[in-house]
Amino acid sequence: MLLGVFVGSYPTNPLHLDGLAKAIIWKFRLPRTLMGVSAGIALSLGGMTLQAVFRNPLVDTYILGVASGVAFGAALAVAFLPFVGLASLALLFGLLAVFLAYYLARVNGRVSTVSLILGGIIVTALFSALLSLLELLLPSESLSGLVVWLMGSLANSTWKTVVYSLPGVVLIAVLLYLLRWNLNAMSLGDEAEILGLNVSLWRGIFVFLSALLTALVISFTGIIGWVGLIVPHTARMLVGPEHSKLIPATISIGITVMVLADVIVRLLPGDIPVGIITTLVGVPFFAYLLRKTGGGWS
Amino acid sequence: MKWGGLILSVVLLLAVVSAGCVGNSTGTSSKATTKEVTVKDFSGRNVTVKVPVQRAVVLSTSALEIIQLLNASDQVVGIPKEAQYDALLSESLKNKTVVGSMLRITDWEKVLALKPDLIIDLDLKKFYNVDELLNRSASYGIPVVLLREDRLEDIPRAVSLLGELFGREKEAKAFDDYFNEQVKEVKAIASKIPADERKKVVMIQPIMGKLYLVNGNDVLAQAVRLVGADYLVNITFSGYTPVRVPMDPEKIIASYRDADVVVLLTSAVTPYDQVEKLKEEMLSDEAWKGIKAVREGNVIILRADMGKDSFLRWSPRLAVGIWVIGKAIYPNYYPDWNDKAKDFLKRFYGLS
Repeated sequence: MLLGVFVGSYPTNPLHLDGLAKAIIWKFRLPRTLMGVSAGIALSLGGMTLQAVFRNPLVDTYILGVASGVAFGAALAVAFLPFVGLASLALLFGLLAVFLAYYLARVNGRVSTVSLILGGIIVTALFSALLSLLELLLPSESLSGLVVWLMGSLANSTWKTVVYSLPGVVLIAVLLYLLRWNLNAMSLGDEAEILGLNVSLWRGIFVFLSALLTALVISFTGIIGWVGLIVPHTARMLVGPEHSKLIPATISIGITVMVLADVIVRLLPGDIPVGIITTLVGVPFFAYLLRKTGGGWS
Repeated sequence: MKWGGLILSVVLLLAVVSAGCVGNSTGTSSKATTKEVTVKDFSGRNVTVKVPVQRAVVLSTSALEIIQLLNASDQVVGIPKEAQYDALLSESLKNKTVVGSMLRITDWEKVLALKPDLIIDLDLKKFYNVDELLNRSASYGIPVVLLREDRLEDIPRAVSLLGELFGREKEAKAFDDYFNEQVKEVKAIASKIPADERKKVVMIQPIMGKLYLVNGNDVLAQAVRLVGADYLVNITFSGYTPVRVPMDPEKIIASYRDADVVVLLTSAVTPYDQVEKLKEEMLSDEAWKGIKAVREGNVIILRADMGKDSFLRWSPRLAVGIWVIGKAIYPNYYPDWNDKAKDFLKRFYGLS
């Protein structure tokens, strides 16, 4: 967090802050860092929750189609509804995509991992096709603008985006902590029902909370990938699968990863989207995870 | 048999004559006879074209603006999607068949159905696969002329080249003389600006909430230098110099604190009111006041969109654009450009 506040292009000595340094910290670095905190909590907790619910370490909220919904919502805002606002339409369509994927996956009142992944694939394909259609209608400048936006960045964070995102994310994080026993039970699989849990109902609740966490961030920042995969797994390796320890560990590692990735971006030339950094780190980590676990739950 | 042969000869003769008549009736307003010329395009390739071109597919809106200025719209058959947004283009030009977008041909079938005798595009290898376009066109026997939108002097060069290809040399010369005269007048004013009054300028274009700096190799930066100011942005990434560089606000403030003038540009997707909001935010913000120009209130909005009254794009529009930039940076040295804009739009585009 301190790095997030004191590292940037303008030299800032924490012991001797001039007027401009104070203004830059207040106007740019603090909102950016807090948005990094929000993204770190939301994306990693979203991944962790789904991994527990579906007992699979390779599951992330993006399999639900939330990213394609957000991308379509953003493009729709740019192309036809600029007065509605990009973030609100992105949020709406992100949640709509997850709802659709979950609805499609629900067969005979049950939602299996496979059916949810298939539902996510269908929804992703649908929204990707709609996005391509919109891209055909967009002028070239907005198209390249949209592509850059979708890569995910914290550089545009303002106090307004922090106010819209962080409180909701913290609230859901607290809720998940309070529901840690249910998450522990869900990660046992079918045995959860023996423990008296309505698995279908709780699966739906946790899927919704994960999707909401993700949408509350990427609707403002664009798509930031892989955090939901690398962070929970690292936390699990450090503190084990028990959620009373796993949730705080996931939150702290998530915040550290996101803020550090953003600090790296600030030191690079231009305005490189932070999503590129997380993807560059996440892809080899995911490959390692796949090779080590074979895609299963241990 | 003799009668049969005679009838066949008469029918063939009539067919040839009528084909000639049809050819004349569907021809363009250009009356010049067709001949083959070899021209050197902006990529340095020698291209042999039958001139005047009668059925051109044009994939760049700036080239279309030139063609309209040359009064050769009838000699175009295919256009890019972006042409719809260009306010300088006539409705008849906008109603031509759309064959591509963003400099790429998206529907070759449509192109072949149009039977073009020339394809005009930009030589922008970073933006699309130029070689693929050249190879494919060559396989269909369609010549391709590539233009570049790099520098101010490329504008009259492009007008001359297209004037030759479309058989509109007279119109091309009229514009080139006009353009060169504007540049000469601006240079004369710029030479009178004392060294201690030279302004340092930065141009920012907001697109979808992100800020893009106009880089030093852009034609707008060249126009800033032409009017007698120094352009501060010059960014290269491992030998590659993009014309727009996305940059976060802190980096802009930290890197260009001594800028005397900040120019904010509209774009095809950033309307004036959005840029005005950014300007207000900058002027009232302590962090942005880290830049000298913001502190002193020298933040100017200029139009670089595709509207009729926007003159800051690589195209004939820049004949007025250089005056717009001059007046914005040195209001005491350059005259008001509104009359020049009216004259330009009326004279070359028939717009009021």
